[in-house]
Amino acid sequence: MIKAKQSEYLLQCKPQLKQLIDILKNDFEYVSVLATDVTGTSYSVNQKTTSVNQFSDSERGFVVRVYKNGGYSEYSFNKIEDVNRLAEEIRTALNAQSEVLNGIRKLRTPLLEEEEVTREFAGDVSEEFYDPDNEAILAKLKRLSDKGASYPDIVNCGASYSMQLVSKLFLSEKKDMIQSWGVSFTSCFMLAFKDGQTQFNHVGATGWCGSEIIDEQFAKLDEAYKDLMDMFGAPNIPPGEYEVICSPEATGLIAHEAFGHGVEMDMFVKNRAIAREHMGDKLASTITNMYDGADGVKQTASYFFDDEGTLAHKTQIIKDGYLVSGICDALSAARLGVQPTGNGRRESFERKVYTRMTNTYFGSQANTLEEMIKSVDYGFLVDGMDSGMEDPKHWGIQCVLSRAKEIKDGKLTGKVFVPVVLTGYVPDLLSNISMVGTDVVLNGNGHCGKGYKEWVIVSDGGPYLKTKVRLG
Amino acid sequence: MLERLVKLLNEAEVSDYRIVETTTVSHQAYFVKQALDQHRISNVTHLTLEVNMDSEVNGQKFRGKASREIYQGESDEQLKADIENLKFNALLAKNPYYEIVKDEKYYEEKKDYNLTAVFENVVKAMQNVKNTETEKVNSYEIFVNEYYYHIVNSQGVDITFNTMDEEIEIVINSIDGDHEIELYHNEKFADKPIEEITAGIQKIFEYAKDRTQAKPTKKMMGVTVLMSGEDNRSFFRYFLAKTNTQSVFFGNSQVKIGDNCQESEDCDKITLKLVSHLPHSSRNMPYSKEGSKALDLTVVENGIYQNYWGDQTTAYYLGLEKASPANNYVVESGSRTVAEMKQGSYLEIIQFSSFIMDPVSGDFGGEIRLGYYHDGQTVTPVTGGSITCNMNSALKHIYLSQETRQLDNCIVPCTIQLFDVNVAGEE
Repeated sequence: MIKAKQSEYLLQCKPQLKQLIDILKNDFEYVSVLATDVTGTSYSVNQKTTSVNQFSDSERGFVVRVYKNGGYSEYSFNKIEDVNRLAEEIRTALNAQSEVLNGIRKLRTPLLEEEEVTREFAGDVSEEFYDPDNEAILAKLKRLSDKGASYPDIVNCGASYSMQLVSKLFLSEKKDMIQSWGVSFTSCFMLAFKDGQTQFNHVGATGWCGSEIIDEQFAKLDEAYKDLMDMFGAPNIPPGEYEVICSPEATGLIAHEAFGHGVEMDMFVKNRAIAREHMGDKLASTITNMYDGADGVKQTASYFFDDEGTLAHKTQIIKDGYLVSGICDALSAARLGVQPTGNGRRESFERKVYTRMTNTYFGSQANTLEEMIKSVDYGFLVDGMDSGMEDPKHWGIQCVLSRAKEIKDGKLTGKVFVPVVLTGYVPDLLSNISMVGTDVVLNGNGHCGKGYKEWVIVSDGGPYLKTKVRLG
Repeated sequence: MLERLVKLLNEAEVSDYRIVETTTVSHQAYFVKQALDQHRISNVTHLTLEVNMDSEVNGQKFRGKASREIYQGESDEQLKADIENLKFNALLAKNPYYEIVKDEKYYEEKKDYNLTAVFENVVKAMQNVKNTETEKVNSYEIFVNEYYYHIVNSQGVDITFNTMDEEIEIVINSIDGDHEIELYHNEKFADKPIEEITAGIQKIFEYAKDRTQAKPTKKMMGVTVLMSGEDNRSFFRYFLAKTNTQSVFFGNSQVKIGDNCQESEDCDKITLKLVSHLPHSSRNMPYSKEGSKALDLTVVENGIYQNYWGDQTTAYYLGLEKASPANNYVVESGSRTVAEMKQGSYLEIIQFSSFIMDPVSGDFGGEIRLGYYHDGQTVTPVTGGSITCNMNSALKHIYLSQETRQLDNCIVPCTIQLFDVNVAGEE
């Protein structure tokens, strides 16, 4: 591993961006610039085609944030030629937009108070990020795809790997920060057709590592194939409340939907999250601990500072069953009179900052999976994340999971039910947590939206945990 | 920039290339209640280059492609390095040969959308949404966007046009004593009369009021369900997913043209057509980014799959003469009126928390955010609980309403009637 290199492009633009800030300072009380250079390569092999393309979240651009008359506005662009002309364009465009909005009451926001910070951050990355052996990576993915396709009834198996190199520069009157890191993503899907039915399953992993992460997927295929075959002809689960053991993937989805979205504090500003009124309340069983943070783990949503120049934190959201903290971007923090937690993130330089999750997970305890299964009279082990939806206003939760494996008298019966919709009331679900496993596993192969847009890369996870919840 | 890139590509001995230049100007405003949170402008140009490289192994012809964004202000040296890198990667991706779109020429005089005026109109309309005593605007976001496209390739494609769209995301609260609920609504459209937008928001006010009265959904077995919400468009996207050339080529869909997905007679037969242009749709692009002309195309007729649609590469692999993008779609109305459907006892679902449609397995459903349970005499607003169904069985016994509605880029029946549905709910 080596230290990630800072983007030469950003370093080259830095003097012009500083000049831009200096010019705009004449008209605005606060000016900052976030510059992004995100690059990477995605490799994909399935039984029909091969591709090598730029990583889909790649971008290079800038966003200026300014403050005037008690409010903030922003201008996104991706070309710098003449700085004076650019400054004039920004000033003219934002002033014209202010004119259109003139007369509308403003949500007064205090001027951001920044501390002086001049720092450079670099994560450890594999050397191959700068000189990848594309042929070797594709060959490894081909082997994985071929292995997956060799099982009976598989109509296609695709293996993919992406490496993402992120570099971001944040400049304001007081801050001069640059960061760089690299992340790897891999996944493998198996598609089977049998008795007129099609079913799908996948495995994957992510982390601050290199293409060796692909190697770990070979060993997962046997079980993934078995799970896939079990889904054929599997009945729907009879609706009801059951004792449920959640796999780390399912645990992560619950963490994300429950007190991930539920404690995003820009929702507190809008009075859209009931958690605001319950800080300090006991809402989970005493063995429940939950965290969010770009700091503390090395996953796909780890960074050194967020898109507003706030240093990354590790925030404990639930401590021994008590809701102790939310997560917050800088503007929402200013409005709420609290400290930001480094959770101000943008989908891209073209979009607004919202409070967003980073790496969200339950903490571990001492129970083994075997102990949990033995403790269940009748219930299910649920696994495989499909999708989820939050309801921070009412603490409703919906998690769509791939399968539920039946447990009877402390043993897995081998019977599987699909699909599985887990619904319930978040405090009930968390208060019903009676056993928590030992090993925290995070996966960051997904994007998270705010409502139905603003997609950012997140990771989530945790250990196996046992609770009681409604399945249908 | 584009001319410089084309010149370098012509010197670089690539087999084929395609460039898509997109300039987006976006005006955005964010509100908490009716107070301005912040406002934004985005003015960006993205240029995406795709390079094809052909090769031959044992007499078999292969074609690979690789693509990346070309950044604004790149020097000739950087552009040459990008092209060489793409050539190298395209040669690694040895795929069956296909042809890119040829000789499409289209030039549209740039339409003046007057983005500032459109933005001002939407802001004014939203500012005029009045709270009632119990229903209140919580927050909303406005996006007004203009897109300019220039698509060229090495086989004579040269297409230029511009489009626009608007988007509103709004959250409504309703209060009943100490109980406060919210409903979320996101709507995309283009050039739509502003009174239609605000009328839609007033309808959400009504639903929000009902949700404050909603009781937990009870567990029910084998009930009739009416789906009457905006998720009906996701329901019908199942047929688009099943006929997409990528899905078929890669094995996600096993659908063959001529297959009948509704052999039962006890149902309304599905007919779904792609339409290249639909008034007020945000998706009216005359050409795809590959240079394929948007076509009117019947995808399913009376339950029988008629045509695939999709991208140029997989369309070529499936032996189609032309690829067709799916901008807009229209589902034909059914045989029953909504009033006829609302007989006896049934659960009508207006909004799911998140409607799931898995086109691979055909499973669909989700948690109920707002529904109405009719027991034949009384109507009870309900919330919570969920339904899980499968398309293969649902299509055997399904009815569609005669009434249809437009939801951005599609026209779909207002109500879908499903039978024998199990509802997970309070016991």
